[in-house]
Amino acid sequence: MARYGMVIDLHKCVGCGACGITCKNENNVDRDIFWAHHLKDTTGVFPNVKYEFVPTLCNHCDDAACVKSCPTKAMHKDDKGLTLHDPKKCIGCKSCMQACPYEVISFNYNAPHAFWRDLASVIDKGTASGQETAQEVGAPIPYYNPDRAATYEGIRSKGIVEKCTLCDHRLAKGEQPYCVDSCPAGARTVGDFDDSASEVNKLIAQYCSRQLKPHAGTKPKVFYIRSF
Amino acid sequence: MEWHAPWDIRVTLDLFLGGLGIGLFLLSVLLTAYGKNRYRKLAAIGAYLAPVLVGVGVLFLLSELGRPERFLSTLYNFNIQSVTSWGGIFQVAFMVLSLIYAWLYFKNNTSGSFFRVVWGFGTIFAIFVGVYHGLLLASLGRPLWIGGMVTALFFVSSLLGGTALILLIKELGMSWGVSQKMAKEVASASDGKGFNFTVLFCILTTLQLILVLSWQVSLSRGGLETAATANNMMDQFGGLWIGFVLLAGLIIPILGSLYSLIKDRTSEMSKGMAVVLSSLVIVGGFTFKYIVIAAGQIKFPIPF
Repeated sequence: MARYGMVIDLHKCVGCGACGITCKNENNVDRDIFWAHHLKDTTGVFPNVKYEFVPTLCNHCDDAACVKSCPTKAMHKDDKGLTLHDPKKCIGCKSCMQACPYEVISFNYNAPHAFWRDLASVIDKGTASGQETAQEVGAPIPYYNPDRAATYEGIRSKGIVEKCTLCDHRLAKGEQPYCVDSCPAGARTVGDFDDSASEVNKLIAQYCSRQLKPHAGTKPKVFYIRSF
Repeated sequence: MEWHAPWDIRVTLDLFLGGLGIGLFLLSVLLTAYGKNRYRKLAAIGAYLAPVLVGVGVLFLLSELGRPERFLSTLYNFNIQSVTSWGGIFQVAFMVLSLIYAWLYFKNNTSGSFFRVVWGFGTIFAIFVGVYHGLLLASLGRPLWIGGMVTALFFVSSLLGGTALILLIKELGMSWGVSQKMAKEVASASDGKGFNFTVLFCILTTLQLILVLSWQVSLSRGGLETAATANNMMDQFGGLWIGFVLLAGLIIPILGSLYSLIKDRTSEMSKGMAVVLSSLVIVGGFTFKYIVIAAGQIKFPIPF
C-alpha cells in the first residue's frame, strides 16, 4: 500500500494563491469553499516585519480523525493512503469537520454554485446573468471540469461535506495534482512516502521538515520545508 | 466569508432532551427497584416521558443532518471506530426498550420476568446513551471537549436533569395517563419514610459542581490551546456560565436542598422550594450543555 502525501517548499512559494484558484477550476469547487487554502500571518513592527504565507490542504493523515469519527464510513482511506470521501454514504452530520484539526473539510449548506443559477445580472440588459452564461456554455458552471466526476461527484450536492482528494482522478492517470502542476514556483511535490526513492522522501531527508499540529496525533502527510 | 459553527442549537437540544429522557428512565428504574408499589405512578410517568424526550431529541438531531433520509445507513455502514455509530445503535436499542418498558407500565404488567429483562437491559442502554452524549464530544478531540471530563459532566447533568424533572412533576401533581386514585399515591410518596428525593438532588448537584470546578481548573492547566479555548468560552459566555450554570443551576440548589436537609433530614423540600430549585437546575443544565457545545466549536488560528 502506498502513502501519498505532499512536500511544500515555503522558500519557493511566492504566496500567489494560484494553487487555491486552480484547485477550484479542477474540482468544480464553489466560492466560500476551499480545498486548497492558506494561512497568513504578519508579525513584528515596521521596519522589522515578517510575513508568512502557508498553503494548506487536506493532510491525508495516516491516522485520520475524520475517518475515525465518520459514522457511515463515508470518510475512508484508499490503497494510495489518500483520505477520500464517498458522497453517497455521507449523512451530513459534520462529525468529520469537528474532528479535523486542520479545518479543511467544508459543508454544503446550500446547493453549490448558486451564482450560476441566478437570473440577476450585474447591469440590467448590459451583462449576462449567471444562469444565462451557464446555459450558453452548456454546463452546470462555465468552468465545469468533467474529469472530476471520474472518481467523485462532479459537483457535490447540498447537505454533504467535501474536501481535497489530492486529485485522485489525476493520480490514477499518472498525472500530478493540479495544484502541483499549476504552481508557478514549483513549490509543491507529491509522491509516495513508502517509496524510499521518491522525490518527497528525498526532500524531507534533505531539509528539516515541519507538519501542522503534529501534537494532534493524526500523522499528517503534508510536510513543509524551509521558510517563506 | 461567514463562519458557521458546524453544529447549531438542535444538537444541544438533542443532548439536553436525550439527557432528561435517560435521567427520567434511570430514576423510574430506581423507583421501581426501591418500591414498585409505593412509587408506581411516579415511575410510570418517568417511563412514559423517557422515550418521548429521547425521541424528540433525536428528531432535532435528524433535522440538523444534511441528509437525514440516510440516517439509517449509520446502522448498516457501521464504523466500529466512530462513537457516533455506536451512539446510533445505543439510541435505537434504548428507544425500543424504553417503549416496551412504558407499555408494560401502561398495561400494569410489571411483575413478570419479561419486565425484569426489559428493566435490566433498559438500564444498561440508558447508561450507554447517557455516557455516549459526552463521549461523542470527547471523541472529536477538540480542545474544550477532550480528556474525558465532559463525558462525566454530561452524564451527571442528565441524571440531575431527570431528577429535577421528576421532582417538578411530583410537586406539581402532574399525572399524565395516570388514574386519579393513583395520582394521590404520587402526592403521598414523600412522607419521609421512603425514597428521599432531596438527598439525591443534593448529592447530584454537589457532584456536578465538583465536576464543573475540576473541569475548569484542568482546562486552565491543559496547555495553550485548551486554556485559550477555555478563556474564549468565558469571554463569550462568562455571564451565562456564572449566572445560570454555577449560581442558579448548582450553587443555589445545593444551598436550598442542604438547608432543607439540615432542618429535617428525613423530610423533603417544601413544595415551593422544590419547584423553584428543580426549575433552576433544568435551566442551568440546558445552559451548561449549550455553552459547552457552542464554545467547543470556536475556531482558533492554526499555529505554524
